[in-house]
Parts: sequence; structure tokens; C-alpha cells
Amino acid sequence: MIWPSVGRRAAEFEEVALVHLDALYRGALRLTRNRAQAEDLVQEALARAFRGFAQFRAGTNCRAWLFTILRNVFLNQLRRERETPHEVEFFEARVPDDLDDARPAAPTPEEEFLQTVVHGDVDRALQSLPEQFREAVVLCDIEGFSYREIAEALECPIGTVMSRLSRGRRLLRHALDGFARDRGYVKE
Amino acid sequence: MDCREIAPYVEPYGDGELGPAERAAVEAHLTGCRACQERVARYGQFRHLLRRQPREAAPPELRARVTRSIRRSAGWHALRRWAVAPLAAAMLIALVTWAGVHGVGPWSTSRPSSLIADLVSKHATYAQIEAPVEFASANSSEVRDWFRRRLGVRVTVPDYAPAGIRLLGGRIADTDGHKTAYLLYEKGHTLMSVFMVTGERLTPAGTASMTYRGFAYHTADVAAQHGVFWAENQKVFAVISSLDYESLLECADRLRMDRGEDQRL
Repeated sequence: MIWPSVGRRAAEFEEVALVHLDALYRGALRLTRNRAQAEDLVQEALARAFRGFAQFRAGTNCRAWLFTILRNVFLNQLRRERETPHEVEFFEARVPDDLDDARPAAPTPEEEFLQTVVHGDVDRALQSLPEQFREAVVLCDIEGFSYREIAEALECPIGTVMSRLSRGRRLLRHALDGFARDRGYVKE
Repeated sequence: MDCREIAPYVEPYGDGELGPAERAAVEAHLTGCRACQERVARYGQFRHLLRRQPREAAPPELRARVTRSIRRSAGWHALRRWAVAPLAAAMLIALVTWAGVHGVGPWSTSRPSSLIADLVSKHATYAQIEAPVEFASANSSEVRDWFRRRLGVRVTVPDYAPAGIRLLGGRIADTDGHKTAYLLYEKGHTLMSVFMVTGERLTPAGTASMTYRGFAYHTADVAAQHGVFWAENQKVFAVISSLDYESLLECADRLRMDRGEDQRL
């Protein structure tokens, strides 16, 4: 029967996909940095996901699949808006190779460091990261994705995920240290 | 493993991403190395800091909007007040019957043409969707003007209001590649669709003939719906509803009269 099976598909989609709505919304917020645009992005991504739900194989990772769609919808919108390929600029931002030299000579002791992090710092520090590193760190450390899920969501090899994560965390830590020094909590 | 070799494994170890062998090797080193223990602990604290960041939830309106849109696109929206579910189910039964050897209508002897099947199916589908008309208006001349703007041709939009049949609006559809003007009416809780298909020929297979006020119509009963069909000037017309045949024939007759009037203008 056509109609009830379509209804079942909608019910199944709601069950397996909509449980990730909060995470998708946060992902969209980080991409768009605008609440209204984030809502539109999530809605469009989920509409596309639903249209392609017949091709989604049970047992594959739904959360990673949804993030891939979200990211692709966002990139397509960006390309249309700018009418130029923007992905390179957006995702392949260069990071100074001399990052290690830029780190404070004596890293702040961890407990002291953690005391200096105030509300909003992590968010601000994340925003300062190039997108390719930020999305790996956010998906792993904030959203709790596994390496494999991140690789699927970002459509890249696990080795790339690991290096982006490691570098992203170092950049994040560096940015947070910078905030603490700016406030005079930590000596230069 | 020494301290230098263990370095690339510290983060995956803390993330729980190592296989059993690598994990065992890291742990073997950690038991004897205070510096690496501190390194792992530092990383753990940093990760904990990130993990305890407030995580914003999606606004409830977004959840409601997404759910609504999925259900709507699945044709699963809340049933409209004229309760179309039985109609959809009946449609399916009829389609299955068509696939068989026997005809479906009380008078039919063969399978109705694909055009008739398509139009009845459109009638059922439009009844299911949230916004069945592209242009909503109960005013015949407004709807006629809309068609003229959109299609560049005159479409007769009969006013059945005196018979208690209210115009809901119009839409432009496609029937097997042919432009189709679609009018939707409502009598009480019952919908009535009027189709005008351009450049299409009517194959009367599977229909009965009926003469009404001197004009011969084809009729077919499909899925508890009555259909009245006729062809004129390389156009096919159809009036489809669960209203009684007499009402449909009256509507068909009125449409033909109005078309005659329009063409004289």
C-alpha cells in the first residue's frame, strides 16, 4: 500500500533522524553564525535527508550521514551566494606551521589554566579556529562523535581526522591561553 | 614504547579510539612513566572542559516545523476535514483491479485509459496535499485572470455557487506532457475537480456513454469516485467527485455552456 508505507517511512525517519536535531542545529549555528539561517539550513538538510532516506541503509551511521548532508547543503548555499568556489577558502585555511614556536615557553599548569577559562571563552576560541580544525574538534570533543563518524561526516580519511583534531586542539588551547594572558591571569 | 613513540597515541587513547593491542602498549608504558601519566591526565582535563560546555538545544518551533514538513512531504499530514484517507485506500483497490482482467465500473467492460486513471489519481492526490490550489480564490473571474496570466489562454471557470458548489481555486498541472488547467470546488465536505487537458485525445475504453441534454459524455466509476469525461476542440474535460452523477453532469453541462459563451465573446 502506497500511502501507509510513506507514513511509515516518515515515522521511521522521525525516529532515527530527528533525535539528532539538537546536534544538527548546533552544527548549523556554527556554520552560519546566525540563528534564522541555522534553522533554515537544518530544515533544508532534513528535507533532503528525508527525500534520500530510501537510499539510507539501516546500520550505517545516521548522525554522520545527516552531518554530511548539512555540510553539503551549507557549502552549496555558500557557492550559490558567492558564485565562486568557496570551499577552499572556507575549509582549507592555512595555519602557521610555526605554531609550536608561538606557544608560551612554559605552558600554564593545567589546574591554573582551567581556572582562567570563563564562560564563553571556549566558544570564542572555537570561533577563532580555521573551519577544518574547528569542525573536527567540535564533532569530537563537544558532540562526542567517534573518529569514524567524523570521517564520514567530513568525507575524509580517519588519518586526516586525527591530524585535524590534534592540531585543532593545540590551536584551541593556544587561543584559550591567549585570553588568560590578555586578562592578566597568566604571566607572559 | 618510549615517551617519543607514545606521543601520537595519547589523544586517541584518551578518546577511547585505540585497538586492544595499542591500548595495552600505551598502558604498559604509562605504568612506569610519570611524565606521560601527567600528559594523559592534562589532555583528559582539557577534554572534560570542552565536554562540559553548554550545548544549546534546537528551538521547539524548529522541531515542530521540521516534523510538520516531513509529514507533509510524506503525504502524511493531518487528515483534512473531508477525510480523504478512505478515498486514497479506495483508489488503491481500484488501481489493483485495473491491473487485472476485469473492468471496474458497473458498465465498463475494459480497463479505463491511462488518461482517465491519471486524472482520477490527480483528484485524489490534490485532495491529500496541504495546498491543492496554486491560486486560491472563490471568485471565478479572478481565477480566470490568473490562468490567462499564467497560461496565456482563456480558461472557462464556471460559477457553481448557485448550486452550493464553492470554487476553491486553480492550479496548472501536467498530464502526460499536456498542460492541464485544474479547478477545485467544494460542496459541503466533498471535493470536486474539474480538469481541462490541452492537446489530448480521449480514449473511451473502460467507460460508459451517457447522453445528457443532447450531448454524449463518457462516465467511469473509479474508487468510489464518479467521473464525467468528454472531448471538445482537441481538449479533454473531466469532472470528478463522489457527488452524484446528476450533479456532475449538470456541472459538465454548465461548463460547456460557459465555454460556448466565452468563445462568443
